[in-house]
Amino acid sequence: MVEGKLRSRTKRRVYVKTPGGKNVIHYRDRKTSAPKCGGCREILKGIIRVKATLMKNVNKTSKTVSRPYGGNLCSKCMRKRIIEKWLK
Amino acid sequence: MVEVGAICVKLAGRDAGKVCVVISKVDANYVMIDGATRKRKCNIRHLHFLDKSIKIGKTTSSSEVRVLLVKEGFTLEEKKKTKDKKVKSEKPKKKRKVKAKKINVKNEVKKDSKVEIKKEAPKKVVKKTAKKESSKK
Repeated sequence: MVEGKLRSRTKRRVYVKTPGGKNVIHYRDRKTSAPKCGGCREILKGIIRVKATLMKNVNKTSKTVSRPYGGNLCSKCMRKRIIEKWLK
Repeated sequence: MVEVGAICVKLAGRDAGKVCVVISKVDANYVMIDGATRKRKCNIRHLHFLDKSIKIGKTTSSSEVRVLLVKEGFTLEEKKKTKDKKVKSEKPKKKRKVKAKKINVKNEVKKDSKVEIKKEAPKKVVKKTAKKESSKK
């Protein structure tokens, strides 16, 4: 019987075949949800997909895109906002 | 068609949202821009043209373009100056241990003792000679 914390489905299960021929279950973390655009909810490209707690260990370039609103808005939504600003 | 001197806003890349002016045409699709952005080639599709224009010659420098844009009423961010390099303070050097000094002192004492022995040696010879002289007598 595995540990109590592993009996829930919070971790995903991976079936691994050992050299001895056994099938063993490995418990691994599930993938977190991808960061999304604040305007259109589209998945942002070029931004790393890790747990929020591990984000602090990641370098800045992999968390943002070198562009105004980079890492928060997609390029289309950013262009809309800039044009709206100048139309006013 | 795009005209030289047209004021526009850049929409793509790290200079997005900054005001610039068309300096010259490169192609049907590309122009050279300058102003708050870096001086560079740019696709027309990455520019949003405002209904304003400036008179620009071929020899106008990028600093002059910035002045002209400010006169038109645009607020430009000042370019970041490169910081002066800090003068590094000298690293503290390791001091030699005190033990090493003690060894030197011992050596000096030994040298002195050797000298003393040498001084004593000729005295003994003198004594012997004195004895010899006395025996002869």
